[in-house]
Amino acid sequence: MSHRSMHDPYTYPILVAVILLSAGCQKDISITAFADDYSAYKAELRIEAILNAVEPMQSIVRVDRTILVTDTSLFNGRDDDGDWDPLTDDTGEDGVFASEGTFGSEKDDGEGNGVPDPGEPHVDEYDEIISQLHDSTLTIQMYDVATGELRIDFAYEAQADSFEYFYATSNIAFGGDDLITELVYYGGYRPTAVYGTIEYYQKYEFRMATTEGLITGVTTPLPPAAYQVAEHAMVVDTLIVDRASRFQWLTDPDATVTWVTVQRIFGPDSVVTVTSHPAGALGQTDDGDWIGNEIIGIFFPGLYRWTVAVPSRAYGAYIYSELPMRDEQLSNLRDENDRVVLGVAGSTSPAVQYVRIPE
Amino acid sequence: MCHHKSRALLLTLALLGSHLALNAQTSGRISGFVKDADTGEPLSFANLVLEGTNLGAASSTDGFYVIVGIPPGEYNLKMMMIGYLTEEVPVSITPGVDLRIDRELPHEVILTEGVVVSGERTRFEEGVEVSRINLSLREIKDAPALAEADLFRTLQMLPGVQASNDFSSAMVVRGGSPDENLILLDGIEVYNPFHLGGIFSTFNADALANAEFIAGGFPGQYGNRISSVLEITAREGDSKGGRFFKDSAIGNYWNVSQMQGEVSVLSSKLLAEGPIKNGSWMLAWRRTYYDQIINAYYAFKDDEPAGGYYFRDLHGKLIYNLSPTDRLVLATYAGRDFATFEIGEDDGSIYLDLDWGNRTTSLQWRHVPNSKFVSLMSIANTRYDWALDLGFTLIDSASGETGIEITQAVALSDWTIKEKLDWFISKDHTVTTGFELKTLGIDVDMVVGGVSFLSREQNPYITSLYIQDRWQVSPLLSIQPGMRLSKFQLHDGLYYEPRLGLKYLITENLAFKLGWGIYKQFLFTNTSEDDILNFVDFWLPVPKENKAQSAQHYIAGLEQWLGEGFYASIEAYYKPYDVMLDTNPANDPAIEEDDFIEGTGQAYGIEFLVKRTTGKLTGWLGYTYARLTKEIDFNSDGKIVKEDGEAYHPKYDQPHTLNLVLSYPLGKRNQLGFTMSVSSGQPYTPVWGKTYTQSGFGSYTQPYANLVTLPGTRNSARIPLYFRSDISFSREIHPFGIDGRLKFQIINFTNHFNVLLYSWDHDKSPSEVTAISMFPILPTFGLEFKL
Repeated sequence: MSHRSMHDPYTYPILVAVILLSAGCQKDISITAFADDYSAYKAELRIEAILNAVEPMQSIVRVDRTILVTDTSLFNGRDDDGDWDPLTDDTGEDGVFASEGTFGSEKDDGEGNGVPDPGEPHVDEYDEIISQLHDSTLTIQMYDVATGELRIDFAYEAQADSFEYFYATSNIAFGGDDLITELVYYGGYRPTAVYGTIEYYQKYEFRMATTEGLITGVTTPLPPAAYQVAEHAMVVDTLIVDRASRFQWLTDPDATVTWVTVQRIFGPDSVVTVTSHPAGALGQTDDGDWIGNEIIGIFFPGLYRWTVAVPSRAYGAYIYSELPMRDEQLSNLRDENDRVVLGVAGSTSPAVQYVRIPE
Repeated sequence: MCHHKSRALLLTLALLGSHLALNAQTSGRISGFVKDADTGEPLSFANLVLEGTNLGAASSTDGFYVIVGIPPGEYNLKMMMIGYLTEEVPVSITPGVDLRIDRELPHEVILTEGVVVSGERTRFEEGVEVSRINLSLREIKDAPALAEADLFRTLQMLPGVQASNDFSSAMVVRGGSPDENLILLDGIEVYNPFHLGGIFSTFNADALANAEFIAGGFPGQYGNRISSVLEITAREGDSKGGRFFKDSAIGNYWNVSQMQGEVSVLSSKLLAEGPIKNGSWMLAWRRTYYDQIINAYYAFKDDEPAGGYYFRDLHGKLIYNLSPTDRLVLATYAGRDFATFEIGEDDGSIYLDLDWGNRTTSLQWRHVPNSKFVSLMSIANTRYDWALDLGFTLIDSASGETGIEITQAVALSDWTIKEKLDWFISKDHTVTTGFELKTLGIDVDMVVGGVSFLSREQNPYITSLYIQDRWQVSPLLSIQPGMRLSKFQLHDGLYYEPRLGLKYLITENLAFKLGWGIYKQFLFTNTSEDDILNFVDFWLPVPKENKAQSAQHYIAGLEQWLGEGFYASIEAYYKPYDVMLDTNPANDPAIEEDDFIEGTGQAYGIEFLVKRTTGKLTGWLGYTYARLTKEIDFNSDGKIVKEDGEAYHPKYDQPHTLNLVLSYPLGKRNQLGFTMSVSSGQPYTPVWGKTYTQSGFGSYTQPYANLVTLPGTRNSARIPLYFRSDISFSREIHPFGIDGRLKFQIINFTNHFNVLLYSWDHDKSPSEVTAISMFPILPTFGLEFKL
């Protein structure tokens, strides 16, 4: 485990903010003062080509363009899709209504003025922005490197996938009660057909034809995680994991990073994603497998769906490493001139387990 | 190789021994201590001369002096120190005689205006080391400071020394990161003696006697650091002026000479000192009350504050003279900072408690059996630790209330036994030798939700031996070769660190100095240079997979004596770093061995200093031209690619720095202080564009979690010029017959906007930039009193 990560996430941002707010001054500066830095930069492609090795039809390729700092078309401060509601969204620039709490106790600019303002819910929101970033003009396929055979055909879908977006219009909301959840769809390339089977440890190449040439990237999927169920009781398909214990899983010796997604199941139609984060392996077994784990004590009692996804090495580095995105190690995507393309060609092998945490 | 080194060492010692034997038969010696008659504190750099000869010596920081090789005869020994009456002692030297003459020098009754106690000339003549600067308590106290006098802020005004920013007291010396500086308090290492935000001084300046700072090329007696040495001496305590129990038996054993204190807008401090039987004592206490001010403000508003911060510290010293030749010193320093933050709402709360501090305790035995040896043995424990307690309480409609608590405790404990022996062989040779046994305990514990998440303990040891000889080759030339040998438990083999100092007096008032050395460091902090504020450090032993951090110092300088307490110097340095450790951004989280990667670097520069410590106008003017480059293979692909930011100028690369520190008396009761600092802006990584990312702790199911900056080439832009000027005014007052001083200061009185960082808001079209500044204009005031 990296030593830095042990203390920085907690102490650093809060205390730095306290000090800077109490001791420093602020001044707005025109971005033209930085023109020498950014003026030569042109928007470029950023690609996340992810093979789902367990369910190949769930694979996805997201292709977006980066944004210039001078861009004025995306975040325009307007309600472009007409879903701003004066009753619930007229919060002012800080995005929360005035209250008696520690922060936001006074009305800020734009609050209650009856018109959409920047910073308010449904103004420059995800579904107004993201759709403008996608590039739907590519032709994408994935091939087996060893045999040269085509494995997956991809095609662009305007609603390729979705994510939950949480926000609160009251003061800092800790629990689920004050949070507003919206489902946001985004575009991407989804398989239209999968040919043959996908094997772990085999090399697969994404070939992405753009108007500027071919972009390629190779990935090697790893097998999914094996949950350690022996020390917990199992009721049908659900593990009973005590709050004072750890929930563990083993991964292949090549997989040192996992991605853990925990969803709480309130009912058949009520599933809330509680956390979704990368995790580094903590130890190794005698067999050489890595042990990943989660401390159960931080979750509420209840029923959960646990998904541990094992990324390929390059994808693991991409989601975990602190290297800049343009780093030639981090990104395995190259254009025809062997230049680094932002993003990654990766694969993921998810495994699902239901877990009940008793009172 | 090893055999050759050992043989050479033995031969040298044999020659020195025979030299000593010859000298002892035909000449005599005088040694002793020089002290202040009013307080009993030692006088360092007093000048001792045998009248009518060219024989003499300078007293050490302990006040000890030795004159050797005196031909038989009758002499007059003059003991001189500016600001003190000269003492003359007739001495009679016979072959082989070894006289011990201790004296206490009384202050001059009427001080010539502007004259201060100074041993500068003696220092100029005697000092061999390059890059050495002494700061007296007065210099520290006269420089303007934010809340109170601050040694580290004053040091940051010297050439070659920088601060990372206004909010940090940590020093960057000749491009070296703060963990490369050895900070010794009464000879004991202090690991992170810094308080929050750079507002408060690190040590209570009232408790300090003086500070010796060596910016590079330091001799073999100092080790385990690769940039600089700061040796701070705490006051011994006034052993002469016991006032309270003069007529009672208690007074024979314990008394109080004086008490002094200071009250300012943010802190209070108190110092008391006095004699004990055969010795002295000193206690200095300080507490800041920012937390109390915040509490009072919120109590007035009938509300709860969101957070608070304060620290307290204590210096203590007890000296007991067992005999004229033996002395025991018990010294302690304990400082602790407390920061809290808590906010709560109906549906939950979050709190954070962080406290950190240093504690040092040492027992020193000084043994001076005769004029040939001064032995200083000490056993010391120094501990630096911090503890974090972070908690959330969540109230959930489905499950009720639950809580998460994360605690983290990190401690570095260092037990050291060391011996330093000064051997005054002859008038041409003074050998200093010693050893150091250091056992470290580094514990890291993290508990999440009541379950141990991480528990690690490391106990490496470091053993060092050193020897150096100050060799007066001729009246004009002196050299100081030395060698330090270290064994670091986690690494195989021995580390050899040769050192060399040379001084040549070109004229009576112009000295040429050279310094060279190899330096190794076995402990380091994994702090990133991009962190703006560091409250706590994470000290780690260099892993066994990595090489010790290593640098070489090449230094050449000229020092011109311009008059009493007035000199100018110019010094050039070249400091290649063979090994610099950095956090590996591409580390595999499961593999500990790749947590750190090794890079190389180069620092070079030239420094000018004009310093005046006597006369009405005192202070200094310093200019530094300094460069720093670093090469590190961040992505571990075996190549250094400049475009990938692997060869760059680190944040501390500030080519030009000009510092001015002035102090001027206005009449007899008022004092004016002025400082000005101008320097090139620090490099930073520019912004090229922006993009969405799921990186960090964003969601896997949410690939558009963060709208982040697309950075350009690492550190290829610079923030604007830094300029800060502070002014202070103090006036002596005597309310109710108490000696006091009123102080008024304005920090950054031109209110220059010094950029600390740029914050980009990419949710705007176009992106908006906010610059956050360091200290704006800040007036402060305080009151000092003396009972």
